[in-house]
Amino acid sequence: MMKNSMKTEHLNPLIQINELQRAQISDLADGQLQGDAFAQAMALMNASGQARAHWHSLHLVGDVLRGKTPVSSADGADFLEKFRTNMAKEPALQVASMDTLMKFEQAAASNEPFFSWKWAAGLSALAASVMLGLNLIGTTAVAPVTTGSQLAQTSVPITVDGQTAVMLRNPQLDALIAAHNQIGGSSAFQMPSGFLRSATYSPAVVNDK
Amino acid sequence: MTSPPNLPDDVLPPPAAEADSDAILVERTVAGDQRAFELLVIKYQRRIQRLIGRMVRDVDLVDDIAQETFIRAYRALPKFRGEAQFYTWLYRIAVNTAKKFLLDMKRDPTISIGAFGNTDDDNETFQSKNEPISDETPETLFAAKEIANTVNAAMLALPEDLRQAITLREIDGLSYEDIAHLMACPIGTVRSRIFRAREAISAKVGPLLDKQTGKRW
Repeated sequence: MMKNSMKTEHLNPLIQINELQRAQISDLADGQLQGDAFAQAMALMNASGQARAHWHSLHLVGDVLRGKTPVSSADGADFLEKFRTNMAKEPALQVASMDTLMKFEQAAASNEPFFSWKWAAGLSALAASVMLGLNLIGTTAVAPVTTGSQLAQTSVPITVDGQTAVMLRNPQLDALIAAHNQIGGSSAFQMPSGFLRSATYSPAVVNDK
Repeated sequence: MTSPPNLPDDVLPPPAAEADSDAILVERTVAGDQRAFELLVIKYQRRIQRLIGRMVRDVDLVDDIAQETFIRAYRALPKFRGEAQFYTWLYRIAVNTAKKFLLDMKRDPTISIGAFGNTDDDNETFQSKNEPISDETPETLFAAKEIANTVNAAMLALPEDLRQAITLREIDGLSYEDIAHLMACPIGTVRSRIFRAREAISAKVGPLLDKQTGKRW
């Protein structure tokens, strides 16, 4: 990966890891390692305190280069040591691997025929639907028949301009109209027609008087 | 492509190419490698501490909240879906953790909220005040400035091709492929130049960090 011809005169004497290893850390910092190279670098980081110190140094320099304000020179090793102490109390991350998840999915699928709760839930939903439907039908059956489509119950032959036709009539409606001497149910203003009753001309009433 | 001049770098998410390496480490952590998460802790510890330091002006609390932030992030990592960059996600955890600490201590968490802005850097209006974080003493501040000056001097001393490569990578956040395209050279050459630039800078900065590169890593 890194050529041996690389300059060595600038090596930091305090860092004992070799040039190739420092190059690996540099690549790791830039996300340039994958597969075996990445695993090798991680093994180095896990094994060598100097490698970690170099990692710290790289990022410290990066922070300086990016920042306008002086970078804190806080001791990262102390912080990390304290972090390790705190982490020792932490349980390991419980993350199911893909294999585990796949096995779980397969196990669920193999148990599918025995999940009777699904049948129970389906039957309950069906029963609830039937009950609601029956209840609705019953309510409708006992309710007063007031819809327009149900008014036409009888047919009366009528003659208009010499032509015979059939007019559908409802005896109940006819009775209501006769009782109120009204032909319409509402005024032109879409108001209840009761207040117009006294203004309605009725020849029969006039003749009676 | 560089950061807006009025923004602290701990507010901004890392460059996109940097997020790739984070994603790999996150994946590795979720797979059970706790040491991979430690690399993320080392990487982002300073930014998180500085972020919290602006919110919680209590020397003793900054470290505790930063620790709690990383612990919470670790616990929640299986839920991290990668829709945001890891640092953006970590940033939110840090802010929420700091707020909770302040609430628990019956302090008003809104006092310092304005110091944060958000991670949507496009509409950021935060004004950096160049304030040191709360746990910085004059000595540590001096050391930090010395490190910064050394890094900048080392950058200036780099050959042009190395300086350009490391600038495009660290400051502009370009991928190796993009840098190779811009510099009209193979990716292997880009990798080599970036490494050599880092080696040169480390050689200058290393002596200043000798107290930190101890045996406890």
